Amino acid sequence: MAFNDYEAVIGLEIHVQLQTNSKIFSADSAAFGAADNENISPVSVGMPGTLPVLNERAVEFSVRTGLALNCAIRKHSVFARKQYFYPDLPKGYQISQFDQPICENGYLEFYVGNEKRKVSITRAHMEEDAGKSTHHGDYSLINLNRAGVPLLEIVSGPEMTSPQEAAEYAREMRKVVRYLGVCDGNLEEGSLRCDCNVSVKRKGETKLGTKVEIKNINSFRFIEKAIEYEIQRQIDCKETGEAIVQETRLYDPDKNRTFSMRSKEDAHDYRYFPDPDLLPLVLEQSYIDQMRSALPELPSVRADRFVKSLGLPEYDAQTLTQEKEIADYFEVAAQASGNPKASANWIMTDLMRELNDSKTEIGNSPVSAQSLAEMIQLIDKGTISGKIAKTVFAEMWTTQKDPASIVKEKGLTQITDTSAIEKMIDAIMTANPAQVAEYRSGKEKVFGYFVGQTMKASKGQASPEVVNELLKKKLKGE
Amino acid sequence: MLTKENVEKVAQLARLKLTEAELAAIQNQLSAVLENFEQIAQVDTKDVSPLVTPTEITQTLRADVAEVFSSERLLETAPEKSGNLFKVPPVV
Repeated sequence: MAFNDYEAVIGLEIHVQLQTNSKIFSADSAAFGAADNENISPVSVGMPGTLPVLNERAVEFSVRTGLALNCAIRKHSVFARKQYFYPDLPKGYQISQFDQPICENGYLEFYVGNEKRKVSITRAHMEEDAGKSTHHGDYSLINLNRAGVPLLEIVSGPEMTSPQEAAEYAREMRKVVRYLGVCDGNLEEGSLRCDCNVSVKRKGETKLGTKVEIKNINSFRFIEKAIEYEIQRQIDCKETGEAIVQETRLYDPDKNRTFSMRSKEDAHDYRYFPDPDLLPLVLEQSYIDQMRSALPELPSVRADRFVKSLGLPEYDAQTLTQEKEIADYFEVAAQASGNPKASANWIMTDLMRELNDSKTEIGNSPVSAQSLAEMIQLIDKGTISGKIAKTVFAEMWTTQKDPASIVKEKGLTQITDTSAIEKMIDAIMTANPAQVAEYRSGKEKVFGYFVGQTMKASKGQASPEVVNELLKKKLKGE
Repeated sequence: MLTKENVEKVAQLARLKLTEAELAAIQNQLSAVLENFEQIAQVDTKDVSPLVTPTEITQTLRADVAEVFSSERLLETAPEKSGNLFKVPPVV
């Protein structure tokens, strides 16, 4: 996408809901989907006299994420009060981190098409989520189930330049937190929320333009569309001389537009100060080292390995590493079959299609990675053809039987016996003298017809290579 | 000395409604507090790291175990509710 004489500057703030059992500062459940106000406690509703106590797993998940994002982990971090009035924030302040966040100065690498990008992570800080309010004209209703759910807010540097890049950054971030098992990455349920800061400037200008924050985006496609719209809107403002106001705008996917939120008076005067209810969080180097050594292989590293040591094309490597479970499945199949590329193909086409159609998680696939590998070996040994394998695969999916017994029971072994195939070809040529004459007069297109007929006569079991070879000979009259 | 506008802003941020007399009184009191801080600010703290808490104690963590509280009891304390939701004056 080109913006003529302008450049866009984009930064993302991603709120990651950490999937702990209990809330960040109290023991009420952090589960999604409970009944109205079912998961609340005196702490999370902000009763006077209650005190917050930090959840150790929220710390662990934050450190893990920070390390995976190549951040420095602060050994001494401090919680601060961010003060504003809103009824879904029962204490009148949000416990967050301000000048001493737990993670700082990292980066995330990802691909935009075939191009590798590296975007810096300025900081990632821990905070508590607010509740949820719904508005009904002359009153509002408050559900505090979400109040106190642990969040890690990950802030990128303002260094992305296109809507596509921003969307890929967000996709990669989702992959990372899912690989780490710290967040389910569900945008619709709000466990991953993305705010986009966008500004434009003339090409070559060093001074950044006025930045606008876009909220309320719940899909990666909408991140791209919302930013695209916003860049164009700001360029139009610049062209017509209209001032760009620093504000928060909401994205409306139905209209594909951003709208100005009514600006709040005294917005952004949060008067942060260290929360006296919480002591500094001190982490030992040994704890950080232990977290680092327990990190799983991350998706981008894994994709590189699939390309370099297993010889997969970049596209396959990217597709297979989208989800950790799929990559795990692939590795088992590739190892057991000794044929990574065939394993990749079967997983990306037939297996994915069946999984999607039946809405089955790969972990519950009726075809195990081991069975798929056995089937690939049957193809590679020439026992069955690739075409028959489709039938075998379908049978494996429905019956969960192993491929060798299916081939045996159904008599699907490939016919490689040339004399048997020759007999079929002879019969077909005798039955179709006109087509034979056509072929011999130079119309070689008709060859496909003979291949089809022979495969049909063999019920698909003839080896296609043998059929091709014999047909050529026989049609030429050799 | 804090200006009257400073005090009005702080009051607004804290959602406090002050009478003219209260404004004047608070203006004096807050100014006195700030003057005291100015005095403290005279101390040379070049080689002193910022103090977040006055003790050496650090955070004690809680195991991530969920417990059930009686949300009914908490809802009972609400001045107004609708079903199991807290009902508040309109905010948009």
